[in-house]
Amino acid sequence: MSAELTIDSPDRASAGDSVQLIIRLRALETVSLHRLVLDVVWRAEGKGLHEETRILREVLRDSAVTLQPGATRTHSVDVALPASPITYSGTLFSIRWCVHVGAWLADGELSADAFIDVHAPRR
Amino acid sequence: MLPYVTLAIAAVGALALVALRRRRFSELTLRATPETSGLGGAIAVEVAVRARRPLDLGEVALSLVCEERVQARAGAAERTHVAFEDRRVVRGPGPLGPDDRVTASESFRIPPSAMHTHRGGSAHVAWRLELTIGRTGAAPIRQGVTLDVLPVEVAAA
Repeated sequence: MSAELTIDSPDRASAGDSVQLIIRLRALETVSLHRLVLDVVWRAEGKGLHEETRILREVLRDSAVTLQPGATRTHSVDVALPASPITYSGTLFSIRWCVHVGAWLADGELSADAFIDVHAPRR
Repeated sequence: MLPYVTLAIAAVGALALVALRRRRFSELTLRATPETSGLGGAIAVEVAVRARRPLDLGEVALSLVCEERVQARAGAAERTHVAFEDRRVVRGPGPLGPDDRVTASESFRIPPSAMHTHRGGSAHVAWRLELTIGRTGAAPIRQGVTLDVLPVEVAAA
């Protein structure tokens, strides 16, 4: 692989809170990055069920840039989580929050996922 | 045309059920306070039942119920699962005369670690309080109050 894509995100957050995501793309050899996109979604998953609701799409880069080996591009994004739903692990279905980043390089695509356990805030 | 006929039949059936209950019971009250609460919140419930004529009743019970519902695709049967139930018998089986009045007050607590009310596209979580009046040799009579459980954790009262 010509580059390494990582996401720093909190493991746990309260619904309604703002969280900071840090996305890093590090070139392992000379690469041409064309597009970098961040999605924050929650997924309802169960038997025969796969539903995805996107709450944020942010295009972090939409034009070509060449990165030399060892060079790192870092993006910091603050995301306000909605008040619901919280993370849920049920019998018929579960709800998971996912941060997904896709990087389109000249020689292929890279993606990374991070999961956040979203719990109910205390009032 | 068929959906309208189905709706009409369902409406007539519901009205007939209500009329039947009114004929049997002069009073059938189920009150939940508050109807909107958070996770960990307490719900006070009051019930009152009075018969118009002597009835042979089974158990009278109150339940706090949380149910998952999933309809994986349009036209598919809805699947349900009771994720949580707290059932309390407030009166044992026995006859109920016209002068008898069954009353009960109970306090339920929504578990703090439970799921809030969720209305997704195909997956739902619903909360309700249910009064069940058993009847000898017949289907029980059920009356429910839908609760709105918010995605916040509240301190127990």
